[in-house]
Order: sequence, then C-alpha cells, then structure tokens
Amino acid sequence: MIEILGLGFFQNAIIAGILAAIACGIVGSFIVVRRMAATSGGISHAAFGGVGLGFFLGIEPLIGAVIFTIGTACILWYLNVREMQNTDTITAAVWAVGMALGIIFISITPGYPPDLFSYLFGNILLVPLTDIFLMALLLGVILAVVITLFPRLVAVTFDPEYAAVMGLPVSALNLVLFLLIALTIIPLISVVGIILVLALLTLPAATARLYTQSLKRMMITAVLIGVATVLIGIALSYASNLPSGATIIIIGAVIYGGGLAGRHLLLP
Amino acid sequence: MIPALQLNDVTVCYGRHVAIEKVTWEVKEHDFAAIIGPNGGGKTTLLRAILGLLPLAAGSIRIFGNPPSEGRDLIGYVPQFHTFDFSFPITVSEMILQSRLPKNRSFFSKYSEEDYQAMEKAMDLIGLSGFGDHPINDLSGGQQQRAIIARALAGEPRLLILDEPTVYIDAPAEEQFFSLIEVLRETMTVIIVTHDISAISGQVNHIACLNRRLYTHGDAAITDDMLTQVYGCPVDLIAHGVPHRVLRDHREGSR
Repeated sequence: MIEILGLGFFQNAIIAGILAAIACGIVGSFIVVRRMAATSGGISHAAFGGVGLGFFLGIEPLIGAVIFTIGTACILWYLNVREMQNTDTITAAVWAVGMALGIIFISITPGYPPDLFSYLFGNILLVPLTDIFLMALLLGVILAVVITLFPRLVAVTFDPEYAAVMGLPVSALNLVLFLLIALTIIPLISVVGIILVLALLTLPAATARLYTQSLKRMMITAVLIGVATVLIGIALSYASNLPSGATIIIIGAVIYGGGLAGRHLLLP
Repeated sequence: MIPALQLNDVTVCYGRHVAIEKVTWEVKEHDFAAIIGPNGGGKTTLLRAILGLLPLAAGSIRIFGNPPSEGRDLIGYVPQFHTFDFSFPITVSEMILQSRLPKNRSFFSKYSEEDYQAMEKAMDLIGLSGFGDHPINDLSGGQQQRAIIARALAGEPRLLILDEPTVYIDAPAEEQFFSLIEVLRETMTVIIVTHDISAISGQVNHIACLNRRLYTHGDAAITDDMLTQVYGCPVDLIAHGVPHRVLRDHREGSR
C-alpha cells in the first residue's frame, strides 16, 4: 500500500481530494445551515450542460462546467431573489435543463461519444494535473471571499431581515453564496461526479453540525471530516477496486451515521 | 428638538390592498411609546416601513429628521422572538456583534476594540455577562430574548423598536423587562409594538392604536372608544398592572 503513494496519479488523487474536501467543508456548512441542498443539486446537475459544451467546443470540459455552474447560480439567484419565483420549482427546472443541454451538445459533437461516466460519477484516480491547478485556483477564490465577507455572510444566513434593516446588501450577499456553491461544485465533479456531488457537500457539514455550536468551528470540523472521508474512500477504492466516487460517498454516509449514533451515546 | 420618529400621512399598499392609510404620528426623544392593534391591523407593515424595508405609496417617514435609508443606523430593532432559528450554530457574542456590521468599515470584517466594548456593555446592561461564548441554543427562553435585545443595544441606537416583546415572557420577567426599558429610556427613545393590551406598562407615555388607520390621544390614555374603533367591537379593558387612566374624547391621528 505504501509504495503506491509514490505514484504520480495517486498523489494527484490525494491532492485533488483534499482540495475538494476543504471547499466542501466551508461552503457545505453554509448549505446545511441555510438549507440550500436542493439549490446545490440544481447547480451541480446543470454543470453537465457545461461538460457537454466543453466536448462540443473542444475545450476542457471542466471549464465548460465552470461557465454553466456560474450561469446557473446567477439564473437561480435572479429568479428566486429578484423575480420571487418558487425556489423548488426553478431548481427542478435548471436541474433537468442543464442535463438536457449536455446530452444535446454531446449528440451533436462529431466522433465517438466521450467517456461521460467519470464526469457523472467521478474518477479521482484519473485527475490530470491541469485540473488540480484549476481546483487550487477555485479554492483560493472561495477562501478569499469567505474570509473577507464571513461576518456579513453569517448575518445574512442567520437573520436576513435584520441584515436588511442594518443596510447590508442582502441580495448581493445571497448572490455571493450562490456563486460560492457554483465554484465549490467544480472540484467535486472530478472527485465524486456530478450526480454524487450533493452528498459530499452536505454529509461532512451535517456530521460537523452534530458536534459544533458555531459556524466557524462547524466549518473547520467539516473540513477535517471531509478530508478523512475522501482519503479513506480513495484508499478503500484502490484496495478493493471499487469505483472511487461511490466509495467516498458511502464512507461519508457511514461517518455521518456514526456521528449521529455517537451523539446519542455521548449526549443524554 | 427634532422628533425621534415622525410619520406624515404614511400609506403603504400591497398591490391594490391598502395595508395602512394616512398614518400621522410623532414620537419625541426619550418617549416610551406603544403601538397597539389587532393582528392584521398593519403593525408589522408600519414597522417594516419605518425600518426602510417597504416602499411608501404616499407620505413620509423621518427618523431624527432622516429618511429611513439613512435613519435606520440610529434604530435598534428587536424582531419577534418566533422568527428566530435558535438552532443556528452561532454564539451569543457572534450574534450581538452583528449589529456592529454597519459601523464596520474594515475590508476583512475584523471587529474593532470599540465593537467589542459596545458588545460587552450591552451584555452587562442586559445581564448576560459571561455568556458570550455560549451557543444561543443553550440559553433559556428569557436569556435568548435578552440576547436579541442586547444585539440591538450593541449598535448604540437612539431609537429602540421592539416587536411583540412580551409575548413569550412570564409575569416576573415582564416586570424585569419594563424596569430595563426604564433604564434604557435615559439614553434612548423606546417604541413597542404589540397586540397585547395587557403588555402596556404604566410607564408608557404615548399610545397609538393601529387598524389600517392610526388613532391616538397624544398621551397614555386608552379609551373604550379607541378600542371599539380599532378592534371593531367593544373590548373590556382588563389589564394587569395598568394604573387607572382618564377617559378622553377620541380623535383620529391624521387630523
């Protein structure tokens, strides 16, 4: 087992997994306390349209995914916050429309259909170095935004009306939250795939939520749980030759279940 | 002296529905004023208009002479208790510091020494010293309510507005609450908004009744007449702790 740590692809997998887990823990905590899991699902599935666009234009599919997740986040924000449309309904719509666009782009792309399986379900053992640079860049942006705006983001998440009374730009801060989700989803696509993104966004944060009473501590705990989830998942997937993305998700769920049971034992 | 709050013919509509109509009212500095009225009478609407969250169809609002967009920096707002998600992972001090955000000009959102001092002062005043690191979820109901008031006080307001403050506190806590208001009045103007007439303390020196229109006597008298107007039927005035009031002739606020 030890000798594989020397292999390039394995090192890439570990770095990619850690980068994704950090983004997940931070943004996932906002998603859990703000109950935005469905919105995140919509944005992540819409990313498939971007992957299709990438293949069609012959550019890096993850770049296409970035364009689509950011575009979808803006559309959802506009319809929800500005046009007062029902979040539930529009989320379902962008979810399906994104997937539909992806299929159409791929069907009109000449040549053999590309391998979509790793985009849908992730394949962390195949992450190229260029993707890692992109992931590191996105994580840098996420960290900078969250650190800069943290108290304001907390205020608008905790009590939006009070934030508005204080004259904070509530609508703009909501857009920032949507965009953070859009950026976080990109590294996750390589790790667990579009379809499984939701679980990695919510499970470590939900586990952390069981044991923490402040958002800052919740984020740090979620990052640590996320890193552990990903690393155990990669090791198990390699050792047992199971698909990496699915293995990581199952580990996440097991840790959450353990956390839940543990809390019942520890706390009366 | 500039009044703390000045409403001139304030009208707010939701589409074609007129929620409040031609409300004219003035609250002087250091007053303890109360707005009472039935649920659905427009109390929340008026409150949201004063806070600058709703556009006016007509009229004007001045807070110490400023329109709500500027004047709201001078307001400490205590929302209704039940609107809170107390399971949110946040500590008492983190919550209280939020009222310092408008004054926070630092790019990295670092709170200043002054912000922390204002927080400590508010917590002292409200009897929550030492609870700063507690999650709000661990506080008792009464402590949670006081923490919400402390959040408003940390913003160092000149006008404190409390929405249904006594709905969830029991009688001894209510006495404590009103003695706190008495202390606060030395440095600020206080307005409470409530549907619960028995919640009006004897210290209130200015009462208005709101049911789409505002009915006022300019002092602390609630008359049978006024209640009949506002609630639409005769109401028996059985209020605990309200001293005898002199009944006076009724007049409408906008006149």
